[in-house]
Amino acid sequence: MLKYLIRRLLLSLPILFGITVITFGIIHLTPGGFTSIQMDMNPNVSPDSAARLQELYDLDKPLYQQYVLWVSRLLRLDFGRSFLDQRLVIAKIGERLPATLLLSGLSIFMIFLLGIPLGVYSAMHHNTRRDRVITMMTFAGYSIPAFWLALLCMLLFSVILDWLPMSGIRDIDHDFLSPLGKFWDYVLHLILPVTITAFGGLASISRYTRGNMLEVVRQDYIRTARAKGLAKNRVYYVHALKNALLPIITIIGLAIPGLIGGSFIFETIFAWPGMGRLAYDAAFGFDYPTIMGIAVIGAVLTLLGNILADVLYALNDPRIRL
Amino acid sequence: MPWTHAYPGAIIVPDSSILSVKDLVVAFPGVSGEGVQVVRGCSFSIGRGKTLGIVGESGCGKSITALSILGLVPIPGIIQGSIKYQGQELVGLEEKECEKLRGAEISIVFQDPSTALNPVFNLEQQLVETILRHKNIGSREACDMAIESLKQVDIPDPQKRIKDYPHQLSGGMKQRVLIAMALLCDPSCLILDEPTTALDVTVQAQILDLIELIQRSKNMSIILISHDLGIISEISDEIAIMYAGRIVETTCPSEIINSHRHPYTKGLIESIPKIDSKKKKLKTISGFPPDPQEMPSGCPFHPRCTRRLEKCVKLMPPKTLVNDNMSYACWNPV
Amino acid sequence: MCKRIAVLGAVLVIILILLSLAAPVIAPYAPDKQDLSQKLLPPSVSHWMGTDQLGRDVLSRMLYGGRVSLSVGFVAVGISLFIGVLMGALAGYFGGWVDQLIMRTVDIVLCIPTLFLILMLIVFLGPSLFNIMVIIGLTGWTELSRLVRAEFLTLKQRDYVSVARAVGASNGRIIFIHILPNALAPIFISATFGIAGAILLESGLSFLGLGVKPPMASWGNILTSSTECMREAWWLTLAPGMAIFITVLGYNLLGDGLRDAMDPRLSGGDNRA
Repeated sequence: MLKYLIRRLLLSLPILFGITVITFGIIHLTPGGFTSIQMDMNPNVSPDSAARLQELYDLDKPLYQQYVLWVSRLLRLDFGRSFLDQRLVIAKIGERLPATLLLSGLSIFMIFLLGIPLGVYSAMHHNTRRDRVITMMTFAGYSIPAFWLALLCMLLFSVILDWLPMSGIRDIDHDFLSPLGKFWDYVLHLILPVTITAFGGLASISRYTRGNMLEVVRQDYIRTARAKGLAKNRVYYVHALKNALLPIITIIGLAIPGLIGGSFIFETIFAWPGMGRLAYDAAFGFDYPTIMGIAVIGAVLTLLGNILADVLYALNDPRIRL
Repeated sequence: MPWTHAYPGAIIVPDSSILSVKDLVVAFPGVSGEGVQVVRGCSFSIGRGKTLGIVGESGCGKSITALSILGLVPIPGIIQGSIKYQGQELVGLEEKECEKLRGAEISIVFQDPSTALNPVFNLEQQLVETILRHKNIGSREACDMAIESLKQVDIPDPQKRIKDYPHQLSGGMKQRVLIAMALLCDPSCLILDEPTTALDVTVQAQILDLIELIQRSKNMSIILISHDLGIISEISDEIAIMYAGRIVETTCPSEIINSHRHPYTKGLIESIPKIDSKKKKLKTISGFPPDPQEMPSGCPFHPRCTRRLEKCVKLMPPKTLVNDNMSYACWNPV
Repeated sequence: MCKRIAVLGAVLVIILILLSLAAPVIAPYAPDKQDLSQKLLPPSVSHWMGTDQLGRDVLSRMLYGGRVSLSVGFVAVGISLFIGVLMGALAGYFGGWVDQLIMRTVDIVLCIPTLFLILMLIVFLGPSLFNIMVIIGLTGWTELSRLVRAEFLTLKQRDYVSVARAVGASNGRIIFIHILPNALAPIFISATFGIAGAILLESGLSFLGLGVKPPMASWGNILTSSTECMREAWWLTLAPGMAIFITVLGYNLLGDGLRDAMDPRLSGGDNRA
């Protein structure tokens, strides 16, 4: 197990290297990116910060040297300071990351908690009216523009009914609430963002589960399980589902970049103080140190998510020897 | 009801047949119209403690017949006719009741052991759940039973092997495990659907020996399904020849070689390769079994039959009884 | 069932394509003609979908916005197809280090959250219809290349490929004449879903001001401007949202129907209870 983990981590080193090259490349080589600051064309960057940038990123040196110096600072977790408020980038990301992880974590949890049983149910009732209803719902689910749905829900639940807060992570009077009240305040603020971010993923996971289940149910070992006299629910939820879940585990890994990167759309709509919104603000403020920091950290998180998925897969599939 | 003495020393029972299938029809409704009948009026019965061999080419409906006994015909198949197990009608039986019979009263071993075990559960999990489903005992006891069952089918070191996953076993081992699994709850009827087809010849022989051993040690009725007449005549008490969804001849191993009546049976016997007859070219039955969607008129065998008469093309031959155990359906028998 | 779904999807897609193509002919007004005396009118006979806060006819803007969605969908997916098919074909056909190089690159690109990558590129390159199409296209090829690679891995084992090689066909000829046509079905299905995704993405980005810039109409930015007057004219939020929804639904239904049609296994018999 440990050996497998180490091997997996070593295998991801080249990918990590590639990620830094691409991030570096995009920022340094894209027209309108880093290089244009040197030409003093960018109104968002004051001559003062341009000078600091020059110093910080050794812009007078050749490109490969700049890269090496940047990576060596990355290894020390030194992402530099934000152009916008001069704070350490790592600190800025650190305070925003929990909100993003909370939102994406709950959303992934919702997606799997509801999506998988829905998919299994749909497969169990393949080609019946219930299956068709669920299928149509899932199609609607992943075709509906989530930002529009967010808008409609905010209009309905916050403006018209006034049941839920419109945006943000806590109320203005949050600090004066009792511990229970604080918790409830977070819950209320989470309901809409979590529901909306989970919506599309829920639809695709249930559809994917259904497809996998239909594939698995045709296998011989399902017939064996039924021939043993096992109850239908056991055949579906234990024998078929454990096999159908294996590919779904990989999807968790693939879902993470979407939830971290895609979060900026929802974080912007819901004024959620997470990484996505930080990235959005940083990008518009041409705050290069922050942008690069978020890109690298986001990618590393994704990589970790993929490794986690691989390990989970290996643990659940006895055919893979650890 | 008369008391029959099946054979000396046999347990005397009021009804000698444990399972009887009558006019079984299994149809798969197609997209257009009536659909396809895969089994078309199949009838046979099997005595307590007896072994019935069903022979036929692939696609003649053997496997579907086996599945219909257990109520496992793939959706959207429809079963008609009658399947009686110890007097209880199985056709139309509720799923819940069917589940109670499967694995406990009637067990089945399928053709391909390499795919018949669930790859993500170990043997213990797959064996124990069967016991716990049908018997009211603790899981510790069930585990002991599972180990015992593996011992019965000659799996070496069962205490250790029981923790193995299917991919760690060879094909023959898997088939042994599947047989052990089928025998766990001492069923009265065991169906073996081509149990050796997917195995190497040497392993085949071992499995057949195992089946004979089980047959002798437990007073169990066995339905052995195979396309291989050699295997069937080796271990069966009775033989049923199946063609195009029907039983065309019933006979027994001692009679089949010399006094078969149906031309199809004759064809099957002639197409068995014999080691000693090098020179002779092997005879085969020309043509292919009919497509269930395009059944020929009259006797379904007539397009391939060498003894075809004019009426074979028009009329279905009825079942003709020779004696209690033998019958055939042919207008122009051998 | 699956046939009806595919047909429904195809019909939706065709109607939407025709409407956008015919926009200049059937749009009752110019999409950017302002008339402040006519602002925020509810739907009526002269303005079927009402007017926005600048008095522009929403129906006309929606029709022109459809052209944006359509072109983004097709151009972006075209770019993705070009890169993805080429990369996947090379990796799958040649194997070895070519395969390693391309597939590790795909792994790396997959690790960088796509939307974040898009955000960075848009901010640096500036939001415009052209940039949006190119950026969505450039970031959307990875899945496709994996799919094409897998297809090539199986197809190159086929006898007709060996035969082609035996008679001395060049690699390029084998890839494009012998293998690719046989891999078109899954590519086509994937492209159909890709168009749905690209349209959804463009509208999301335009909604956040990262896509097509006003005054050019896009369903995303029509929705954004409608939010400014949501309280007075809530109906303005419905048309763009519904349009995106129906379009994306159309492509998704079409893709799914085609997939079912080409994979008959999914409708076969099985061991279910």
